Amino acid sequence: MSEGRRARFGWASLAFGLVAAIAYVAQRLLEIRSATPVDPLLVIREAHTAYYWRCATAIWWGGVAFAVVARGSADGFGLPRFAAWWFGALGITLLLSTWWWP
Amino acid sequence: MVVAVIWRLLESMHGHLGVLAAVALLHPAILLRRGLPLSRGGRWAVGLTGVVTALAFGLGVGIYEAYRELVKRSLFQADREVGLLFETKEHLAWAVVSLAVGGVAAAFLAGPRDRDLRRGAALAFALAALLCFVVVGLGTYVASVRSFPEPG
Repeated sequence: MSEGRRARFGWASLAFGLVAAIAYVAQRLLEIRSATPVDPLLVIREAHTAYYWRCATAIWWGGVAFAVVARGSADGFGLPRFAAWWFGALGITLLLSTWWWP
Repeated sequence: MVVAVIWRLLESMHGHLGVLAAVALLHPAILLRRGLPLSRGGRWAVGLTGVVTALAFGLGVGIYEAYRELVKRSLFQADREVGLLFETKEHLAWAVVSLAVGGVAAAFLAGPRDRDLRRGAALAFALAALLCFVVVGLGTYVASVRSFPEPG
């Protein structure tokens, strides 16, 4: 594999990881929004299938992000300024979203 | 009785692997933070971090059905809020795994000159480690309230 292609795939992998994490939480929030507030009785009765589906769909979205980024030019990639702050903000958002809307 | 011991053992292994994964995820975050190419030992560290994280997650998924049958009901009966914290833990665990997968792949694919890519992987590992520590904390707290029944 050429060095440029490897770099593109590397950035695409990072995009996969970020998008898969965000897509999972976004799906969960959509589920809660389109249904009822979290009901412990339903949580107990629910099979794990919903979790697997959310994971599978998140992988699909991650795959889409991977494909989009992998098609780009590696020269155009670089860490944005304040990337660490963006990652930190994402972490806090994921944490609070899953805490408030489990 | 033997079955109860096995579930408790697997739950304990899941917890210990989770703690190991949280600590292990910090290592590549530190190794890659300056964007320098990985040494052979560093590559092993990144690879093993991915394996440990995947094992902890896989074991959790593996014992879930038994957990739902034997523990979850009594957990919600004991404390509704703690039951919901278990759900939070599950959601965050997925974020940890996906960030770790992205970080491992990026670290291995980065060429000698891809400094920014390695620094990006370091950030993914750092975020995964942070979330993993939260997952481990929540898991420990939930297990302290209700766990698989003791044998006998």
